[in-house]
Amino acid sequence: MRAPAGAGSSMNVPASQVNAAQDVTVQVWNLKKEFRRLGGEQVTAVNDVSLSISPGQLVVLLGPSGCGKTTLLRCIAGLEHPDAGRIEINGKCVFDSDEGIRLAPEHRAVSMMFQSYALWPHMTAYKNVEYAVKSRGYLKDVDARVTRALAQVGIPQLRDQYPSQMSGGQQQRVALARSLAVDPPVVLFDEPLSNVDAKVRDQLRQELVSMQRTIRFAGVYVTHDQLEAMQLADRLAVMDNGRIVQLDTPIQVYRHPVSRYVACFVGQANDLQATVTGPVSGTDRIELGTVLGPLHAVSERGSALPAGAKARVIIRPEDIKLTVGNAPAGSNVWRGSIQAVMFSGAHVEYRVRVGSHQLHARSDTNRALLREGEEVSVAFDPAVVYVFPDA
Amino acid sequence: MAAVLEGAPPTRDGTLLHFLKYRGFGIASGAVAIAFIFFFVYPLTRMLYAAFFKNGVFSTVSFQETFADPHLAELLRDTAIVTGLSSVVAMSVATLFAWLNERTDAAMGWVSKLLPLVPLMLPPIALSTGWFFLGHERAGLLNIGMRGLTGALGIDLWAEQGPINIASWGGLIFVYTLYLVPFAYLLVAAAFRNFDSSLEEASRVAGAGAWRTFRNVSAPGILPAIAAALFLVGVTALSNFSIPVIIGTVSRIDVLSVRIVRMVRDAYPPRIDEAVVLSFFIVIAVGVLFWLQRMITARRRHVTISGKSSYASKIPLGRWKWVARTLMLVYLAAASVVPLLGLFFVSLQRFWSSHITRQSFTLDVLQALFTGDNLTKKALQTSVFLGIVGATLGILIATMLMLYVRQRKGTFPRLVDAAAKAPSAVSHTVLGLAMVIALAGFPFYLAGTLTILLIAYLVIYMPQAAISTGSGIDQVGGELLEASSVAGASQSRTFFRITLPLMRPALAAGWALLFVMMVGDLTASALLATNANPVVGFVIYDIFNSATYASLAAIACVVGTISFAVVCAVLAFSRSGAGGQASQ
Repeated sequence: MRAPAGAGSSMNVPASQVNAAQDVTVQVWNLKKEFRRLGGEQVTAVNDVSLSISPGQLVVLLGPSGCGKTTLLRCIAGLEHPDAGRIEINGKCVFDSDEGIRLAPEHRAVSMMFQSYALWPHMTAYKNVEYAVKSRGYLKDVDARVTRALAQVGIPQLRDQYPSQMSGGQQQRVALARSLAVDPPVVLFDEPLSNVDAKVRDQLRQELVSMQRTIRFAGVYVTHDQLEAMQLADRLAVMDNGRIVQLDTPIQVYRHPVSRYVACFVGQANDLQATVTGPVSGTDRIELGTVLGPLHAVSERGSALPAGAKARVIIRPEDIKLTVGNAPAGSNVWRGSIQAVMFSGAHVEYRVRVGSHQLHARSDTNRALLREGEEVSVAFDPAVVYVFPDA
Repeated sequence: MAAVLEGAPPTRDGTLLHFLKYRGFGIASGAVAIAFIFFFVYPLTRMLYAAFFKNGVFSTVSFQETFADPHLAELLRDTAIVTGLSSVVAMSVATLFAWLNERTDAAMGWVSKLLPLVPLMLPPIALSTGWFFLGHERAGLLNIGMRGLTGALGIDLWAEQGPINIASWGGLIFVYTLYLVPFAYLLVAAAFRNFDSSLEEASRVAGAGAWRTFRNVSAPGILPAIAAALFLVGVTALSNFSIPVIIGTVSRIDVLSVRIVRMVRDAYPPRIDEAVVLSFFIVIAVGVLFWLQRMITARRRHVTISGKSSYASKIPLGRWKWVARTLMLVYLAAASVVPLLGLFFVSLQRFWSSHITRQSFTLDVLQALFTGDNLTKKALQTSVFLGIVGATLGILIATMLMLYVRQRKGTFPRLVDAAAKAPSAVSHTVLGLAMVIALAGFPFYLAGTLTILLIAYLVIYMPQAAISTGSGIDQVGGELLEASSVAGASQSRTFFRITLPLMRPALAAGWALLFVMMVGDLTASALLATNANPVVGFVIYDIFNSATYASLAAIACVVGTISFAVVCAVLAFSRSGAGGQASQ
């Protein structure tokens, strides 16, 4: 797949070689983007964001709608003009507010997949891919390249079909072929799977991961689906109000959320109000007062909080253990009764009433179901309790 | 190509070529926008000035003269009755048809597609002359046919005249209604289509009947569209000249648009001052309609629902289904084929009379249109030429303006957008009159030229062009163009390979619309054309006044046929090939 003479440099050489000397493919410094709403209200969609992405790495931007993740992606693509900051792609500055550099999207070495697929309806699958290939300056072996790309995404038979004749999943495969046919060093994904149904979404997600491992492009992937985010990400960037609040591997983000916001957004959570009582003498624990009663947590998690401070306590549903009958007395053990059972196939979800409060628990043993109204003991390890200051 | 990826110039690069590539389009569009606003605002300003100032001195003489006319009240009353009644009837018919086609099992897909196109296929001048020939009390073809039928049955009620008389209040309102229904239908049917039918289904499931659902759920939901349709229909009715000039004249019902044209064309010396004052009444009426529309839409907040393509269950009408279908088919025939046939029939006779024999049929009248050096032939040529040039220019200008408006933010682009659509709120008669006042004399001296006609056509029909191209641009959608940019295509490549092909159906439809309206235009043409540069509208007006009816039928017939052929050809073209794929 040699590039035609004079054709674009970085696009044609495998991304991994180009970047051998560098360690980042996309570098964003202090990016800021403000909008003015119709009413005149100023909204900061992207607020002082810095981010670097290494070759072959997939970074997922995760957050609720309106948190600025799509705006950040579009700034990298060149579809939005940030108000301040600097962006480098493949070692080349594409945007710098101080130097007045603002490269149009067509001059940036990126590909993009859109939520709406954005396939050109007047072109067949083949023409859609060919258009992208030719637009990047490839003049030779265009046919081979297009054919290979369509085969790669598993739809060689659709080459002469128009988008209106395809299913959503097929359209998204064409869009994927269109993005990958030019061997881009960077691919941007704007919630590409949110419009296809669950089964196809699962399948496409797996193919995307394996393709990313083979082609080794650097990717930025926007989604609000936390499961998708965790499955795809090399690094997960959780966004809130235009800022990246945590950037780490999915495991780290899930196990060590930096804030109550991250803990609640990534994974499910029981979120309780609490007041710090103080350290439990002779242990590495602290005690907190909650609606459940006194509750123990490992002290490093709440070490910054003085006695009397307001706090939030987060416990993940899968960390709550439910047992029938009397459990050994001790800390973090309560009596409760099952309020609702939701059988979900591979696991079971329970609503448990403890005192006046309801807890959400989750069990992976789906054989011996608890019944509604059954009395249980509710327990969790102090080590799984997250403690955050209450804002 | 390496340059494209590597060393592509940042936007601050100052070379002339680069400047033109990136700014040229914007500058050209800006200049076109300014020129357009000038030719819209300047004539109206001149007209306003002319109404209040005589030789530079403030004067209300023209107002006094106008109000001194004892027939003024009658004129205003008749105009209000004709336009008001026909608007209300047309709205009701259109809403009924829209409901039938979008919500019941009486729906016929092709009727729904064809209905809005009727005024395109048959220009109003052909519609009104057609019905004039069909419904004339003595010599009307329908009357002759019916009298023959009843005579054969031994009923001798209408020996010489009747039973239909198109030259009456009822006849006038009937033809107005035929003409106005499609304008309202277009908006109301679209509203029904876009209105999430699951809201109606929710109402039905909640126990409300069909009528209750319509009154409490559907009707409020499409209220904004009804208000918009009422405005459009009202303004169209006030502007229309072709129908009252033919049918109103013979039935001695005078309306404003005709009176204004007559004051300028037929009075000697032309009573332009009074015409200006009369045109103010039209402006006021349009203002009232606008206010009415705002009142209706502002009453409550409407949620625009962008639902999925809904699979609404159609309401079964039982045997009423066939009544409904017949009603719609009768309307379609009455608004298109029937008057066109009437025109053909009369144009094939030497003289139009109630006595039709086999010998009276001749091709002479039609032939005369195309042979020798006569005014009618010249008018046809000029009109078709103006139609082609005007439609092409109009679509080009509208595309530039709408791209400019869509791609930019700020006050000026918003102003351009408003200006491009504003002429639709000013009656054609008013605009035509303003053009006469502003452009005929100093400093332009365009009286009697093709240029003044072209300018008038472009300004008058810009709203239709802007709406067609604007909707075309909206259809292309932001992401399709962004996808092209991100794929590495330049601005011009994106424009020619993506934007233009995707806009083709909308552009073609807009072109056909403009062509037909310009060729069939009567108002501006009657006011602005002269014997030196005659156009169809001008000649039709003269022929009608001189009562050579066979020639009138012949020329209306030719115009109708040209319009019909052009619309069909353009629609076929725009739905073929890749463009057709895109429009699916």
